[in-house]
Amino acid sequence: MKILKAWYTEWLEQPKVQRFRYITIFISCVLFLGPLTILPKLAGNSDLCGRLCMRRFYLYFPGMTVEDFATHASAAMIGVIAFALILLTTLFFGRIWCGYLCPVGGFSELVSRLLNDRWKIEYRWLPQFQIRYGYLATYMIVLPAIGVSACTLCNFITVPRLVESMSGGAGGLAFIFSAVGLVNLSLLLLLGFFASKGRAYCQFMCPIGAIDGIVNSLGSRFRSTHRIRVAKERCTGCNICARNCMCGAIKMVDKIATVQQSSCMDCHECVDVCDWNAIEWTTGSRNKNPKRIKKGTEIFPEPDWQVITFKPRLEPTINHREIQWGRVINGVLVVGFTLLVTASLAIH
Amino acid sequence: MRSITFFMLVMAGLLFGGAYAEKRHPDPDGCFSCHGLPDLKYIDDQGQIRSATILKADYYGSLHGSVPCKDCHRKITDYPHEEKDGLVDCAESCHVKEPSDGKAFTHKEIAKEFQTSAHGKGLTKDFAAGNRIKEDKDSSLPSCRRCHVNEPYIAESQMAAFKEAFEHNDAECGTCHAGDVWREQFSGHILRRYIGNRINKPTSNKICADCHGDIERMSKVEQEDPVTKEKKPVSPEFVHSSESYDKTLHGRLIKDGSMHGASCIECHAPTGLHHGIMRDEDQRSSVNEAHLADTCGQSGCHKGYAKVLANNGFLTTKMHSASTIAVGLQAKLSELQKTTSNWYVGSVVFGVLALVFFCGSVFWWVAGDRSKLSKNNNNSVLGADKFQRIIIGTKQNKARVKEGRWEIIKRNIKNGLSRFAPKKKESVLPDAATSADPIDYSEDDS
Repeated sequence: MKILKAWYTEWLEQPKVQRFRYITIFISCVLFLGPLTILPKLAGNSDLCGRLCMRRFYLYFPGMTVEDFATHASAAMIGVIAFALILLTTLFFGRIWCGYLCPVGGFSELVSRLLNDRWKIEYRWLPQFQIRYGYLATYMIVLPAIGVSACTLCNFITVPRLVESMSGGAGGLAFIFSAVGLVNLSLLLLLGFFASKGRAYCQFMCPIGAIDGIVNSLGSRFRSTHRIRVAKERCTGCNICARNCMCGAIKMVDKIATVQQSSCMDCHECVDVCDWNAIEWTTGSRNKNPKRIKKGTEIFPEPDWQVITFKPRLEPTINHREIQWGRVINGVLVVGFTLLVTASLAIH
Repeated sequence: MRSITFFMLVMAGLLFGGAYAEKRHPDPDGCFSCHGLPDLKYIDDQGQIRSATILKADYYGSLHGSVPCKDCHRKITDYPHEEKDGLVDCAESCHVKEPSDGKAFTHKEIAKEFQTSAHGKGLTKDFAAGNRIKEDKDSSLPSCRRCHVNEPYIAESQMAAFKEAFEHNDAECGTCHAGDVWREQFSGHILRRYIGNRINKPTSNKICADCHGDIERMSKVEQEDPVTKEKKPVSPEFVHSSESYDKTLHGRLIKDGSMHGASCIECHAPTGLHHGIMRDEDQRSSVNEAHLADTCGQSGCHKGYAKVLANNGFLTTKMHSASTIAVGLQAKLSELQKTTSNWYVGSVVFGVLALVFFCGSVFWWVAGDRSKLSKNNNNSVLGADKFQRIIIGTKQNKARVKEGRWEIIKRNIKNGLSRFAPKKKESVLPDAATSADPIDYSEDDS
């Protein structure tokens, strides 16, 4: 009871965007994972493997020809289309799949967020960029050549099978206790459930996430996706953003938050938690007006420095009334996905 | 099956009805004058009543529908006949002529290839209705008829397409291939091959899995050593081959309805007439180490790279690895499931997690480091210090670094246990130095 109450109060304390995000992830889990697996079943699958696999077709085998690649791609055609869709939406609207929809990373994140912090292992201090792309290269080139199946370390196989095995069936249970199953279970527990914020697998080992991260930073370079910008003049060095960032994309350098764009998952949490309006989620260049005033507080009389620097900001600027088209499209996409899913549920 | 039979009956009536059927399916020896009778029965040597009725529609709809009975049941010259005269040899030639060379068609080549295979000691001749059960009991090896049931050649689902194509036959093929001979003899044959094509990947896999998927049956199989002729029990990989295949991507894709997976035959008998399945130790086998690169590198499969030396690991991957299915454990678990509920078995997983949580809770209760317990701190059990140092940028506490990990735990245990120690009762008077509240309120009560 106490735990439930604590969870509920924590839920209310969450910023709006985060609550929305948890709900979309939950819906996505219901749709993609067992025992319902509604969306995979539309393609005749019970999980995310086989024709739905988004992680295998770009493996490189030495001596591979274009024809071979075409064979691989056509074998997993639905996965290829899904992967292309993910990258396209990322390029134009940010990492909607990774942050808002992915049932596998989302599932471990939700479970991890339900657990108390003292159960968890902290991975965010590790050099993410290097590990992620180092592993991506290993995954795509070295593993195929030495004959280790890429599926061995894939948690797109583990999470559905884990959920499946809970609903009975000796085969599914036996999978968990087989060598491959145990490796995957420990990956899920150590890099998922018991990882701080539950996104360690996404950050270090997920090939989709790695490629998606590159595309996202590319998109932000073209000003199509949102970039996290820190106003150095406003940052007080309170480090609440770094503590809350589930990806470990924010690091305090000389007591000022710095963001690594390729690790960012567009979850928007740092913007929500910053009390000083120092972080913006924007496609444009950052606002250069310095301001050090805590959200929701009024200071009277206004100190001199604020009168001088803050005055131009007191007049309503066009900035505030601008429609954020990126956000609108993002919302439409997510809502559209939700509707599609509801429709398919009804058909199902 | 019954519905298919009925369907075939109706369709055969529609398609090959009347005089046309007489032409296409000749019965020159008049076998159907007896065997066409309903309820034709006899008692075999084991005293069992057996039906000798041949359903015309079923037979005409089958693959051998246009082959006269006597082409296979050769020794029967008059009736009534002995059962042993009806024995069939699948390698005999029949009077259907191969259109390319005009020679009589025969399964001899296939039978030859089959006899060199691992299944080679299975029967290819001496088939009769009566010895079906006996064969099943005596031999674990497949015969021709065990895999090739003479079933309706065109599947129910493809019948409509076949019918449509058959009706357009004259218009489309007839412009070049004029004449009744063509139309009656070959067009149906070609159309059946083209549209029927019953043996696709899932069905051919099913034929293999009918026997190889039967674990009880496979565990009784003994393999003969090629040199010493000694009989040995088979490996667990062999016994569970069908199950482990289903776990691979090959098996999964086919099971999910995609034709991109490799079927059993495509690896184990890729060349020739697809009957030369051999053991992997055999030098001639397509799955022998020496030929594996060629087999995996077939066109349409892993063509470009299977033969490249850098991909050696690709060829050493065990496709039928028993470790993927945890054979012993699975047996034990299913044994457990027979007597208990699924939840009980599932609780094995939950139990391990619960144990972790319980031990962790006890540890925290006794020796938890409460000094860091705050919302502004990272409370993770591992890596929290590193996070504070690297991401947040706090300076290291030098006193704590000196202390060492074990000493911190010892101190924490000491602190934790001190909470359970009985409080000293003598400290009635508050000590000004330690008490947070030096004022004594008791005097105000009066």
